[in-house]
Amino acid sequence: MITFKNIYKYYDNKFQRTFVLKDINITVREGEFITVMGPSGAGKSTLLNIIGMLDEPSEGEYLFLDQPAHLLKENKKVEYHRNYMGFIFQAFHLIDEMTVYENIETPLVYKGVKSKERKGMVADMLDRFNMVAKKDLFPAQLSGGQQQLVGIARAIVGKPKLLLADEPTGNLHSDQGKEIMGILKKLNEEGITIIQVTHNEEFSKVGKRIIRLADGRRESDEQIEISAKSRV
Amino acid sequence: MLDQFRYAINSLKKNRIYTLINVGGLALGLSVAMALTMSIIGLAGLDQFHENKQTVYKLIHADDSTSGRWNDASSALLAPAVFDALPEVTDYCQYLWANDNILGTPENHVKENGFYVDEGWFRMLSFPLVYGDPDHVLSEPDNIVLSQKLSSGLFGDRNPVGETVRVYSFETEEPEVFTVSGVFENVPVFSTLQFEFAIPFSWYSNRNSWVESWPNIGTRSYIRVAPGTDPATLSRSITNHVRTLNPGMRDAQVYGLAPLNKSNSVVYTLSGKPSFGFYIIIAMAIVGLSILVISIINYVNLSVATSLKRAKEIGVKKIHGAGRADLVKQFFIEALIIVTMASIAASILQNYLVNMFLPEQQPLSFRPDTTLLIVLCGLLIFTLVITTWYPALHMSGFSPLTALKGNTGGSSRLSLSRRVLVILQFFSAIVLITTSVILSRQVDFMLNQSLGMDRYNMVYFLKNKQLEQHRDAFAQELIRMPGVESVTFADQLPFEVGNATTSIEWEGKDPLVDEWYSSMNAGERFAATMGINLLAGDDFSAGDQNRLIINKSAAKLMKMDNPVGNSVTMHGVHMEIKGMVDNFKFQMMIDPDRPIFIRYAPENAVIAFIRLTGGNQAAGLKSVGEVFSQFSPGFILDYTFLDSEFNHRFGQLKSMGRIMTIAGYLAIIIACMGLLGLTVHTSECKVKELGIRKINGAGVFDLIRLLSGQMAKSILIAAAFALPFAFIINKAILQNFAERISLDIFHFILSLLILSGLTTLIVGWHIIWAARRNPVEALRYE
Repeated sequence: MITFKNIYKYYDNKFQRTFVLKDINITVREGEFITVMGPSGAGKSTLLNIIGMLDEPSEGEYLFLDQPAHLLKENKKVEYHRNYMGFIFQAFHLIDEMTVYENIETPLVYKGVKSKERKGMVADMLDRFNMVAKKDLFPAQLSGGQQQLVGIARAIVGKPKLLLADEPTGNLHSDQGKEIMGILKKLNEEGITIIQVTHNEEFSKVGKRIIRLADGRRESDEQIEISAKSRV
Repeated sequence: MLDQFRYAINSLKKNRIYTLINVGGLALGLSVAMALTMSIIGLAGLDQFHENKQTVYKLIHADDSTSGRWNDASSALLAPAVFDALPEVTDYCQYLWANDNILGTPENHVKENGFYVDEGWFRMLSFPLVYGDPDHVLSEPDNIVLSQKLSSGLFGDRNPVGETVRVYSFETEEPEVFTVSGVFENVPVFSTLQFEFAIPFSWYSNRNSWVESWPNIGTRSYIRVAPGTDPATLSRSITNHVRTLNPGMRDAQVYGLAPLNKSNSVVYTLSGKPSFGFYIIIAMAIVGLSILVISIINYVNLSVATSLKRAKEIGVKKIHGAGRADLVKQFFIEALIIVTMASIAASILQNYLVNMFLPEQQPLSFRPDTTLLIVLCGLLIFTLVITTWYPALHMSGFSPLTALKGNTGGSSRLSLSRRVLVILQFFSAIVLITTSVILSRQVDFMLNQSLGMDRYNMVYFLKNKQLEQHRDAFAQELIRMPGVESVTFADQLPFEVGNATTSIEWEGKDPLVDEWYSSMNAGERFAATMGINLLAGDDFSAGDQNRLIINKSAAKLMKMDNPVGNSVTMHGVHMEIKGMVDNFKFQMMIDPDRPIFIRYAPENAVIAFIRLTGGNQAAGLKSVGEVFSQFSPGFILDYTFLDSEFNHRFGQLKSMGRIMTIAGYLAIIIACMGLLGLTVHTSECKVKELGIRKINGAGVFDLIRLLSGQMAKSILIAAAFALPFAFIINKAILQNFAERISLDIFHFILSLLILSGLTTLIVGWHIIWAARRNPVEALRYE
């Protein structure tokens, strides 16, 4: 599904070149659940942003579904965002002016889904996350965990193939975090490919594979034993 | 689509202050633009409503085909002669003023201005009749046609055809009885021909045979030509034909044709060149457009400034699949809502503005006119497109990643382009306010300058035949009465002398010079009563036949150091100069130092001027009433104050000054609203910074400086560019006035004071509020 060939990301200053990612080679197959770990400044978020086509590599090739993603025009990228990708953020990033219902509905509107279908799909999501009663509330009226549930609902309502989560539990306390990780695991079992960035060692074990970054380089890439997984 | 509107409204509600500022600023700007558009369309549409405007011409003549000085007064013989002789002329009519006539029924009476017109009048010109047949309403000499307004004033709502009206005029000894033969629709505001009633021209010419001679010109004549007639060729035929009829015609004299819709002298001169109204139109267009642009810049600036707050929303939407087009659509819908709200507010406001701009012409009732609708729609679409494109493109172009981090370049510091916009706004506002200060001072100067006469405490009215017969007794009796200082007679208002003659000769006059000199007929005590300063010789007294009073410029023209006692030949008669007066402004708009010859001819001086004692007008007016009814029983006294007539005549000047003043203030207010928006935004962005600085010991003044520093700098830069520019512009404008105020640094200081005062008032309170806010609150909010 995703292939990184010799991906570099750097910023040029007047006198020096600062590397964020150095020579990253990764292949991600459909159905994987990957956790990206590493200390601050290791390049985790940059890696995730490049995968999510929010940022561009400075060098190297990035194939998404066998298409050279680093060559895509802005219009095409929008198409990929609409049809294949969902995003979850540490800061939730819900739109304050919109209700829970409208927030979840947003991607469908841009995807051009008909109003009737939209209603059904949003209702399914509300059902699934037990938020039917809260659908007319605004984000400010929800707790952090509930906001992140809305964030997840919004990310998956368009049935993406790939879910990108940038420290999804970073702003939550541990019980809420566990609930969110449980949901991600379930989603992965349903077939969605997930790539998450986290600092939390415990939550990193929810995935099937851990990629560790340090100083922009891939330090390790390990598959996790099924037994380890079941501990959570 | 409906959802989109709902989101947009939610988001506008959320940013209430900005929405209010945006709607308010745009509404003000739009209303000015709309009001000015209406005024412009009105002025440009002057006399354009005549259906026959392509084939009806006014007959004009010049004494010399090369001079370019055309005169539209003609002999009453001209139009009928041209019509009889030339087949391409298919119809004709002429008019003469019947001013200040009193029309009455047994129940009530009114004083109105009307015209003596030929039968062709209602056929050729588009003054539609409500009652009566255009071909026959003027066929009997005692017919009268009334305007709807006059008809309802005299007869109420009923059809007055067949009723009788008594007319009290100078021409008759007794009130004359006319039969109403028709009623015409009220004359549109934008017609230069303004009349409330029409009486057959033949009625007038039967009593005033002088009009039917070639040397006497006074009527205005129109002809209608067959379609396709070349006006230049026809003018030559007319000139040649008149030469055969009028042996006294000068060799160089030529006749010409001025198109009906381009001979109003307000927008076009008789020769078709732009007149002062034309420049007013251009000034209005520039002012309207610049105010609209100022308010659009407001919107753009505010939208871009607030984009920081909205960056997250935009980023989130982009990541979830919003394409650029989706976002542009969203901003378009928001702009649409704001512009719609602003337009509704503007269309209510502009009613008041139109009346402020052109108060002399109210009530302005515009019919749903297609040009007007198209222009107004164009204005709105223009506003919508301009307000949308920059913010929409700017915001939809954010990279989603940086947008999410809140770093959009739309930070609390003004970006260069927005600073330029703010500077541009204040630049236009300063130029407008400076120009308005200077122009309104110029107008004040023109209206209040010494006219060289005293126009206050003076009433005038038309003499009637009875008064004329006992003129001297009437005057003597009046002067004895309490409250009356003096009485004189003249044939024209002293600040609006229209008569001129070429028939003046003096010793040493260059025989080749053939100029028009202003002339006036007057009676006893002329200079004293008018308050005109007598420099040499004496005022007119009884029995001064064939004597003249001239002004200083006339003496200079004739190169006479001591003109009194010298003689001048006027209309072939030797006249002695009895007195010389100081120059007075007998033609307001024109060079004041022109010569005038005032002849003693009280029998021709149809207007009685009565100077009342200042501070005791009531007693004076009572005296006038008593003496008037004693000398002309059966007539109705209806007098006018000279100064109110003066104000009425020069109202156009006033409205020009007023337009500029209102526009200048509005421009500053709109610009300040934008500034307020930006300041609110800056202080919101800096809530945390302000809190931290305060905790670390910054005083209120330090914070005020922090918040207002950049704005103040922008305004200063704008002023630095605007003041020299305004200086140049105003210098050029003032060149057009014969007598002008001198440009004074005071005008510029005054406009800066107005600007800084308004800015401080509108923006200052917010800055102070923000600076004094409790720092703990600010930090907790973060």
